[in-house]
Amino acid sequence: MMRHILLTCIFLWTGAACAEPGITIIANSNNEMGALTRKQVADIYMGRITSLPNGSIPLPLDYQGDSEVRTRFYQSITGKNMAQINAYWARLSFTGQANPPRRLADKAAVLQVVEKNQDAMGYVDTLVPEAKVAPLLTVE
Amino acid sequence: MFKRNFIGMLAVVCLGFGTSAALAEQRSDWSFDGSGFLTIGAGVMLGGTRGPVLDKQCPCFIADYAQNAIYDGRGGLQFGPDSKLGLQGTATLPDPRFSVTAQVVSRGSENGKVDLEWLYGTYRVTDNTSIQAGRKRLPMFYYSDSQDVGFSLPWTHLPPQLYGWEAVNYNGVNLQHRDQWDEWDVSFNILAGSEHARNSGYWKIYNGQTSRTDVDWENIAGGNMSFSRDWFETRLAYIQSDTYRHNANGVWDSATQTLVAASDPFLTGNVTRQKIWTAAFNVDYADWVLTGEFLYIDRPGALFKDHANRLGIGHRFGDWEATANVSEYYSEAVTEMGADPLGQESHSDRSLTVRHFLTPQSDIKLQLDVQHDRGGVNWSPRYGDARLLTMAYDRIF
Repeated sequence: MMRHILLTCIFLWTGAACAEPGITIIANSNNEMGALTRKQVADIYMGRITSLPNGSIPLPLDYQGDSEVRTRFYQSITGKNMAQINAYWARLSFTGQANPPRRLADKAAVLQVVEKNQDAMGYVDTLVPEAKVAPLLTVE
Repeated sequence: MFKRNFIGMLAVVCLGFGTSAALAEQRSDWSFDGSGFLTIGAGVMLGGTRGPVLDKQCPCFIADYAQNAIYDGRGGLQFGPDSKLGLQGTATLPDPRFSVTAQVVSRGSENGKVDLEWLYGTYRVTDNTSIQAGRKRLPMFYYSDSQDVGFSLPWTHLPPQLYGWEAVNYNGVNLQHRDQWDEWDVSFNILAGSEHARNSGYWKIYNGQTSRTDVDWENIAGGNMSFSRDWFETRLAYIQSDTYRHNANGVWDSATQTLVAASDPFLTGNVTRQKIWTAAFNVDYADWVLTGEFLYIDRPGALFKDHANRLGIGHRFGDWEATANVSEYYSEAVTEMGADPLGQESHSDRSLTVRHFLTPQSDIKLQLDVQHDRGGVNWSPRYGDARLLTMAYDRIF
């Protein structure tokens, strides 16, 4: 069975069937952010912008620790690993230039805040259908 | 004195690890965030110009002018110059537009003495604009703001040819603004204030370890701006101030091994208005990093002007990073003011650094520095050439 799957993957040259699941950037169902580009998401999470062109002020949420989803998220939107991200924030946060996104314990906590706060945004590896949030963008 | 400093450092260590990772406490509508950084540095002098210089036995490598951090000619490992521990706390008031930030740093170069490096209040005028008042770092260079945070640097110590002056902090106010212009991220910062450095570590390097020189920078005004887009960032800064130095007890005379009266008119109370210009660029493309910084200081009426520059290239290999850097400092004699054209200070440093990220919050580094003294034949104190190997463990928490 495993060999079957492996062969299928090889023949499909990885493709969607074997790729890692995407990461979905989410926001409150009543958010006013509109569609976001990958660069805007990166700018928000790297503290480069605190408001969007339409005037909305996103509240980005992150995860504590260096989980697999967090590592993949930053690698995807910035091309940097967690050590580089932490070194970047060490330069900014110890100097009062910007503050990193608020860090929550897990996906349940992120979903809870995003569902309640109109300005909140976060990211999740898999989005359960019952979550009352709006998907903004999916990155690989 | 040492005992008090040691106890102080121990208290900071206990406080630091007691608070653990990113301490965050919520009390009614107040919130408090704490964090810290640690560098344990060690260096061994491999060779260089041997002999006494002022009251030091060399070869000598000055790792940080501002903090009087010197690796000298003694054998074995030296832990003081690059080791430091810092703690930072930010309290956000019930009105979240207001916050207060404090940072204390304990340095090995000062036997663990704890200094208040930052203490400032922030008022967020808008989401992109804020006013800060209190004690902050003078934003002269690209890495000035985070120069104590080893984990934010690609080196075991900053290139001393640029970083480290008689004043690195100031008391005053600043207004900073961040914005986006088309595809460019831009930031502006303007500042005003003053700084009074008593018993300057910087001047001990030039006047001897037992000398005492006070420095006053009055009417500091200036600012910095940066522009970044994708993989490119550039930064410009200008700062001016009235500069006053007062030497209290003389300068070290190597011939007599005593302190003798200072002869430099700018150590005896003269004031000059200095103008500092710096520029920097940073290219971070794929796994390559190319950086450069340039400095020019003009002090009308003084005998010398300052020039410094550096160029670095780095490459990342997964959790590893290699960086090569060249930096140079030279003073330009103003002969019409009577300066000796053979009395200029000049030195360069070439360094090679290998860094390995142990975890996303910690790293170890190994760095080889090769320093060349290029001062004029009449320049003194001549610290000479040096070859230094340093290791550092950095951690943020």
